[in-house]
Amino acid sequence: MRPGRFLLAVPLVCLLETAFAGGPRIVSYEISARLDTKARAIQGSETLTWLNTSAAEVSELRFHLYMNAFRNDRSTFLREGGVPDRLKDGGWGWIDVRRMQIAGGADLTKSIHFVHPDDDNADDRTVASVPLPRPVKPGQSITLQIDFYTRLPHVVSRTGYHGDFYMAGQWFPKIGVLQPAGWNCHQFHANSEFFADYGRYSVTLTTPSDYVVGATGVLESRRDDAAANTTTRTFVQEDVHDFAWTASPRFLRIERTFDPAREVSARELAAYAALEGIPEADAALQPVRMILLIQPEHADQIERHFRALSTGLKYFGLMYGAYPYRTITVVDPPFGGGQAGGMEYPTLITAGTNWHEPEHTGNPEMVIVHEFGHQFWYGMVGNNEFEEAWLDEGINSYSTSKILDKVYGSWDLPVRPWGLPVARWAGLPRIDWDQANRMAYLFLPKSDSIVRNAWEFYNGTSYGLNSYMHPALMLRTLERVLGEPVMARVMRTYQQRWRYRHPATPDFIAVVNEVSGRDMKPFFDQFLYGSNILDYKVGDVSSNKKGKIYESTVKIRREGEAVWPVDIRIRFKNGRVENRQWDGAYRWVKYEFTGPAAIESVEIDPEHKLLLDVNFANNSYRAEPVYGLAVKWAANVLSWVQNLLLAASSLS
Amino acid sequence: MSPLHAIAQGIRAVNRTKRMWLVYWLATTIFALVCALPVWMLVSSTLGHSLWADRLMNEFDPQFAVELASATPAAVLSAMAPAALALAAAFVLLGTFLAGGAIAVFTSEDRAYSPGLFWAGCGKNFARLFRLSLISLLFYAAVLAVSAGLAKVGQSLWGEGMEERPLRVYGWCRLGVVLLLLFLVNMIFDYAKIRLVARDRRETWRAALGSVALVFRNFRRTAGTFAGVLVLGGMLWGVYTLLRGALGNWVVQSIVLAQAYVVSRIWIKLLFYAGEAEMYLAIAPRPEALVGQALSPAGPAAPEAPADVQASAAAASAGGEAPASAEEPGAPGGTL
Repeated sequence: MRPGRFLLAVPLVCLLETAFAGGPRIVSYEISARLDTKARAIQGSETLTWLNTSAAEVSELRFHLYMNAFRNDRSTFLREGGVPDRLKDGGWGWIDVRRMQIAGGADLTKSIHFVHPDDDNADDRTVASVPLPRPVKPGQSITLQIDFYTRLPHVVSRTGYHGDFYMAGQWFPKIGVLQPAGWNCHQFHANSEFFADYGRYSVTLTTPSDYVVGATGVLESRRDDAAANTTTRTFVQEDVHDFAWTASPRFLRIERTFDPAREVSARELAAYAALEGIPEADAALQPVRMILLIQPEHADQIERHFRALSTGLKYFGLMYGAYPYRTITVVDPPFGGGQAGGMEYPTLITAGTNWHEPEHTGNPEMVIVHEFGHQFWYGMVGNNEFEEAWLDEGINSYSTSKILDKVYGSWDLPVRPWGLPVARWAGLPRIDWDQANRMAYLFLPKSDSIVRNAWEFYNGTSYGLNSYMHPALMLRTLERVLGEPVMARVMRTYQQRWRYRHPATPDFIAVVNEVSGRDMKPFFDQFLYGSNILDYKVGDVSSNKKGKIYESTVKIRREGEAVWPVDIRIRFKNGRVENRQWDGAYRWVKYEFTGPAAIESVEIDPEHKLLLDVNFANNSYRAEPVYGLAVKWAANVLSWVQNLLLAASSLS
Repeated sequence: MSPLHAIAQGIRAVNRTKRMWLVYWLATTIFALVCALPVWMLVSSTLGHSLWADRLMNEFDPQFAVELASATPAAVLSAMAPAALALAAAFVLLGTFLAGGAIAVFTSEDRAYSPGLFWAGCGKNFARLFRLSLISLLFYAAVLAVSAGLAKVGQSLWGEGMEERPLRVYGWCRLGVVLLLLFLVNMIFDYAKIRLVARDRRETWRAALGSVALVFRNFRRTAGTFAGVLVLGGMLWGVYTLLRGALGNWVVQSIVLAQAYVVSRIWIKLLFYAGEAEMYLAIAPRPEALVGQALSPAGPAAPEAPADVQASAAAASAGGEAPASAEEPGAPGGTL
């Protein structure tokens, strides 16, 4: 730590922005922290330099104190989400800012007060406001020295301790994001994640010597103190917007290198470059150090973890541009520490698996690929997760689904009583991620629109559905409407253009319109900002013979409120095929045909572009009815129920 | 009598009662049709003219089930679970009714099915077997309580630990213990039913507790018989699973196979009764006075104390198993 002595007042082209072609480096954190395993706490001091990139003077700073969400049962987070038993049993967590001082200047500690920009909860202490004695002018920066004490909670919502496992996420005072409208610094909500500016983090961690430590960034130095039985490590990372770390004496630490020369064939590279319309050199990936911190009882799954991580590095890199950082660390939380699992931080992700987890269940592969994907969608493209969670969770779910379906294929249904692969034993059908996303969407298709503040969804289920599966399905539909090559270019352009910056939904739509050359506003108005459902249906179909000629009529109905052009294919019994496109504007449309043959079948959306259609069963019609399926399924149900009844009658 | 001998005798007895299989199959099928017919109508109406049916014919797509569920009014969905429970409860009652007839047949002199014997047994024994079923619920509840208690112990020992393995292994052990207890209760109440029918008695508590004693005092033979039939059932399930996998999408053959398996389940169910009846009669032979009397369709209930005394005497004179007192928790003709 190098404490500053004075208020920095330097031009915009300052040290924070040197030699960087991406977005501005607005923050620089130098943190020194010591883990106190007895008190389950972190003693820290932080030197924060913040740059005012706005056009206005700033006379107040705002800080996230996320850990105060677990301070007591009156926080907004716990009021919204309920209080876990672990916290009630003494596992509360909090953060106290013990000193805040302008470097070489005024002590601001006493002027710190809590504000509640999202609700009227005066008891919530997750956002602190600090008035400044002198405003920070545009282009100038300010350096603060902050001492803090963080008591980690018994692991809850991505952070805390369990036994001798520590996962430190959102553990230090973090400054909000200044936008033209003012500070964007929301309270911590049960259904929300995070938002912060990019910059440089240099963090020095002191832990007991027998602890294995993993963290955001690159390990720059390590120093052992035999007398104190501690080890001090310094991690540094630039162009990230958060810093997390983990420590436990139990971790097995395995390190490997992702080697693009071995993982990506020349043919694959050429194919992706062609798909995205870029030179092969631009599609090339770079080596990355992969670090796995895994529980000893999961040692038999080491290869599965590395394969999933390599899959993420390869396909996210090929689709959206090479992963730019030198390391990626995967943390496997212990049993009981699952609340820390399945979370993304810059260059560090947490996964999660079970003892003897069977293959084809989705774990740990799905969670690793998904959390790694967040390095691109959240990490590099840093949207506001409070206000538009779909931009990272939805786009990442779309990306993850594509990659998992391509590499791993379908998965067993999650029926695993006592951890046994019963779904496989019983021969239950397997599903892919498109199916899974659509099924989830069908449960609550009208609950909310996708774009909404995270804490303002109808409930937690609706937040999850409309942040993950629904947008993934919407993007798959968009992909099929635009065509895969266009969509590939849209996504790569959006990723490259907004790396290390904070895009919003209109920025994504602008890229779609620009790259596709189409005005997709009606699509997004309905399927992103709206919550109307899409449901086309084959209505009446008839073929009446008059002499040697059939007069055929097809009526197509729009059952849902959403309107989108749809293709219709009519087949006749003599092999003739007629294709029509209907704009869907009115409630129904009628097509009439005359010819020597009657209608054999009618199919709406024959290429299955519109995955958002809530009813596939009514999308087609065949003149000759099929009886076999009803007989087969009814017979299956008959024998299942007979067997169940016989089992139940053992009680008699 | 060894368990294998009892099972062999049971198989012979069950194979002589094919019309009883039919009764059971009809009862099971009629109840199951309550669920299967709506499925047939629903699928016919939603997919009968849909091209999706062709793809679904090859492989079931869970999306269809979810589409259907999401389009079904919540009130209908929420009524389905109680309806299913009511159906199962009604079938359990029917099973109780039929058990009286089946056991009457298997404890008759020649073990031969006759409609008169079977239906009279059903009617005559229903009330006592129903009371016995209610008592058995207490025992099943006790098993569930043991299961919950064991789960709590596991949680307190390893629930807050750092490793999943101990809790998982413990969970499997707990599952095994609970299954064994369920089998044990099932077996005990099978013998209680047989005892009530074979001895034409009405004291259900006494029969239940007497069967506990009988099972534990003759554990190798009673459990051996039960386990032997269970293994046979497992083998039939294995064969069915193999054949089902081999048949693939052959609709008619699959239906025939599935129904053949249902019949085999009925055969196994009856074999439990028949094998256990053979074992029971070997352990505690029926008093001579009751032979032909208790099994007569309109026969009066036999007096309690003399029956026990005679049973004890019969067993002792046969040089076989423990006399009737051995199956009673108390003395012969005790107060239970």
